[in-house]
Amino acid sequence: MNAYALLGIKLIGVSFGSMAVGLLFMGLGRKVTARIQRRMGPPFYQSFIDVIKCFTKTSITHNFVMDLGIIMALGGLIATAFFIPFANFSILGSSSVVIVLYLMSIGYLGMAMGVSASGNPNATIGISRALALMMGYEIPFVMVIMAMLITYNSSDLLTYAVAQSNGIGSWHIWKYPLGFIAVEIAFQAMVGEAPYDHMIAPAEIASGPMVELSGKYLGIGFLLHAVQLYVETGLIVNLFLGGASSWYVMLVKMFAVYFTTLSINAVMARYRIEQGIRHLWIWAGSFGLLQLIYTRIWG
Amino acid sequence: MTSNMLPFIVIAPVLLGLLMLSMPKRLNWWIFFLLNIVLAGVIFTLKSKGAMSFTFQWTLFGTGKVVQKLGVTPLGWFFLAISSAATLLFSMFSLDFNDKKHSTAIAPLWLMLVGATNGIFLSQDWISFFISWELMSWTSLFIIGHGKTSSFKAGIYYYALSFFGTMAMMAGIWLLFHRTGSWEISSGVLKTAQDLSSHRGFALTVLSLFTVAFLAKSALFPFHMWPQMAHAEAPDDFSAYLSGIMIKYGVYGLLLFIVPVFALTPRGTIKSISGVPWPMYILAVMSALTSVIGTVMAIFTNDMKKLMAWSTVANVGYIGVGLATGTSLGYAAAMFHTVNHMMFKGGIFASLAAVKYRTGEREMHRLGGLAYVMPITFFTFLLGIIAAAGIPPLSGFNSKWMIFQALFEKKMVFVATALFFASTGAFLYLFRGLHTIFLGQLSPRFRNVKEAPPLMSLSMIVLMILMLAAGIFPGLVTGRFNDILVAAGLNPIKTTLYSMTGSTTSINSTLVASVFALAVGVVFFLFVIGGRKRRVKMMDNYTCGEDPLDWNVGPDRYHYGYDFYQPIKGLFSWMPLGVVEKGYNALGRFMERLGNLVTSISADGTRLGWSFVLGVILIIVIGVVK
Amino acid sequence: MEMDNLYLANLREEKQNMWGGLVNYFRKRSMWMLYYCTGCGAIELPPTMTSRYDMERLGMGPMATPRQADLLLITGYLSVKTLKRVIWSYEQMQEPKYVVGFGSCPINGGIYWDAYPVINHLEAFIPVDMSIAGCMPRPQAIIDAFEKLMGEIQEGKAIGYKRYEKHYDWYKKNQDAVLGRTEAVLKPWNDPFASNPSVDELMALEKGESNV
Ligand code: SF4
Repeated sequence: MNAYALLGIKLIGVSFGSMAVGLLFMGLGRKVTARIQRRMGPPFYQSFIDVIKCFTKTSITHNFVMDLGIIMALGGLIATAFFIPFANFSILGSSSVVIVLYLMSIGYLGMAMGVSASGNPNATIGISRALALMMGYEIPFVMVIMAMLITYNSSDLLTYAVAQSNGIGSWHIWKYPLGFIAVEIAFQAMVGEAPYDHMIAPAEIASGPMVELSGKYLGIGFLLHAVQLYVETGLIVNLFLGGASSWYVMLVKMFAVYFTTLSINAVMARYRIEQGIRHLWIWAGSFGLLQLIYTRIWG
Repeated sequence: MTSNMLPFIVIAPVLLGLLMLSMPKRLNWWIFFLLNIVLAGVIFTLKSKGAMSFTFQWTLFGTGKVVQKLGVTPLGWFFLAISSAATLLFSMFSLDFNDKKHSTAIAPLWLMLVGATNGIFLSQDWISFFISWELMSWTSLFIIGHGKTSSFKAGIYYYALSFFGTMAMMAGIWLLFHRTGSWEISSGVLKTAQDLSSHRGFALTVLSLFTVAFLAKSALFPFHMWPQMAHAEAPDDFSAYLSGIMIKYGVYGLLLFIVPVFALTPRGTIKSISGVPWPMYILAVMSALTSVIGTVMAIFTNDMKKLMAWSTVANVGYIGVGLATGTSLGYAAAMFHTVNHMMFKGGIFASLAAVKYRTGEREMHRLGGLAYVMPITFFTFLLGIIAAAGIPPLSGFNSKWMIFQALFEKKMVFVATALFFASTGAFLYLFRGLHTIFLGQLSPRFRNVKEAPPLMSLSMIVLMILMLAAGIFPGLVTGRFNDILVAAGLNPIKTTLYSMTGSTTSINSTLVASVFALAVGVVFFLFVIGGRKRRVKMMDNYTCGEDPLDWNVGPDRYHYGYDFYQPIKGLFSWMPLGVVEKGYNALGRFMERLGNLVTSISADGTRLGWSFVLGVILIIVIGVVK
Repeated sequence: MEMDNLYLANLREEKQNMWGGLVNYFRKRSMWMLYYCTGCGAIELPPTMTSRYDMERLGMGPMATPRQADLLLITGYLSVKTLKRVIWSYEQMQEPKYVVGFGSCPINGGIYWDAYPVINHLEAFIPVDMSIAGCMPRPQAIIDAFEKLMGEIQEGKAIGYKRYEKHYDWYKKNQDAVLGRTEAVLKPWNDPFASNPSVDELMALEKGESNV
């Protein structure tokens, strides 16, 4: 019984830790974007201030579905964060990539449910775009993961991370170069940065899903993005960048992934939604498919 | 004594159904419900009584003695048990659904259908199997028709396709009988397995004839057209049964005949692709195609029952893929998904029936916001779609996970990619259903809508509990598969109450569910310590400062629902989705012309003569064949 | 005088709350604004936000909707028609919320003081926490004003939203006096089902209509 309690406390630690890491990245990311635009930018801890402020404000809710949805959203993503190996250590002892992919969806479903219960068409349009885009990036992503899966005959992220721990030469970037390109493109869409920021599109649909979020709801929305960053950058690091042997290397690698995304984001405009999906299918999809065919036949 | 129970559970419903045709409607529904309790009770006690069978002999002209045998096999009992349990729930649902205003006269037919279903799952010989199969086709035709013109058209469409399948099956049975000299299913399986190495052409012909029958019943490609008409037009409470149980007959057939044949065939007898015998690989590709087509069609459908019918098609595709992998994991996955689909699609159709019961609407965009007035229905639908999308911690995830594991085991990555596409697309249409029916603005027309009546709610709650239970404790269901797998000559799968072991990893669903609960707890804590919240009206939205009401836009027009995925419609325009339907239409026109020809001939008053000639030709043909 | 009492009450309240000062720190360092570009004043915002003056240094940034924002910027003259939207947006914002009036127009009408569709004193309709004089205020002035506002937030002086709550009747009276002059262009929506018909009646109603 005690072991469970201990695990529970550790997991609570991980949940707050993942939020903190994500928020730190968001803050640093704003700084990076500012520097790209030759501005000073906010302090790196700005995101923490923002979130805490959000929680001190009053907020509105339209109905119980909204509360339920928003709680389910962050809960789902935090649960996903438990399954991401951090610095070659998986707290639950299992880190199947299939669980990660599907558990992440409960977060998205919760978000979708919560915001569309607000009754604002902008929110629903945002969600419909996000879901459509999901069809665009999930397929290339899954193809690359399957390429790894049939090589190692394991779907455990930790196996992949450990397999790449012999220096930079053993990283999967070199083993699955086409796959890495595909995943990088898909990743841009996964975190919703330009040119795939259809979901938020502040000037178009008034920040989409976030349109009716206020106070703590918005705070949870920010935390959602933070945990999402933690999960997705962690996923990429474990898949391609050789995992990490210590926590700071892990953080640096994770931020490097996010940094690339931000740099692309800073100089790109937005596609239209169907162009975005087509682009993902054609480019990310064909790279992923080539990688999969190559690995299936010669790998 | 107990073996007499077997014919009882087949014949009693049929006879009682016939009797009920002349009884008042309301009484019929009660009888239907009560008899289902009895049947479920009997069926659940059958298991503990061990193996039993009931034989019945008679003589058929020209073929000698016929031995009809009903018996309980592990596979048959499993299907029998889940179908009787689900039928009990649906009959409870129907009891409240069929009040004065919504009543249909389908109870007697439905009862006969239940008998036929039991017959299918109990038959040990092809004659009983075929009789039950035919009875099932006929009764379901009339139920789908239920006295409405549009429904009858759907029924005819359904019947035409399944008739095609039945004919194929009859031919298959006939061929098999000639080969083995016996009507028994098990000897047919053995013989066909042997034939695969010695008389390959013959064996493949038999197998494909049966496969056509089963594909037609389970709406796999190229027979994926009928559910969208039949499910949509059938009585609302019956749709759950149609989608939950009836679509699985084909799956049962595949498990009964096709799967054991390939399991008994030694490796290397047939050329294999990716470690799977090529006929099975073709089945896998066709199933994956079914999934993709079902998904894409569902995304752009506005009728809620049609949408879910397409979703059923997509899910049967998963089951087909699981079967086609040919591993014990694949079979277990297929059976697991069968059970899950029964629960979640049953729940979804039940909630849709409740919505239709209260509002009378089927077009989704005319609804909206019903979650606020029908919470139980909403939660049933929500859990249903979570399970259908394969999201943990609900049951759908476990079975989808197993299907993917089976695919990874065989390295069938391209089929898996197609399934992933279907699985991601599922989010699109499921969310569309959730939003357009239950979330968004509540139209003022439905302000006074009430929650579904008590018995309907009760059966939905039971379905919810079942879905959660199978999701958190997969062993409750997967633990039952090992007898079946062993009986079919396969290795058992590794599973405990909490976890499942696949080819690439094992997962502990209970762990996943509990960490999810923990994470939700953490967020709930954050939510509680956050600032005060206030509830506002639904129309109090951010609208760039404009008040929609000023622009004569009420909640019903403000609801975003129509043509939901219009922006991405163009992406799928290259897919030749309508081809199969066009083909069927052409065939239909041809048959109509043929029918006209026959009518014109017989209208000459020489009907008798022509019948005579046809009969003679038939007899000659049969003679030649013999 | 009223206002002073409110301020003191607020201070007392915050003293009792040990976190008050800390909370105010977070509030002042993270002001998200909704800029209501009603008039020419908005033109000075882009330079304030972009590289030259970089408002994000102070933790400020634009937000898409009033639900998310803390700070409402009224950038210039306000016509009667726009006033309605401003009030609607202000009421959708969540507390604590602050209003800043840009330029002389919101203060006293500026050069539009005698124009028939423009209101002269924003103060009378929603509580304004800070006004920036000038026609048009330069970015330096804007930044300066924001810094001042931050100071007031820290001290617990920026309590416009509490004033609005307390003196709602007075604000409402002023609003109604002006808005009463306007009229919706289209026929506003009125609930066709105001009589709350039951679903059965509705179905009968629809059937009846389809027969006609
Ligand atoms: S104060 Fe001057 S710049 Fe500002 S809105 Fe009025 S006239 Fe325009």
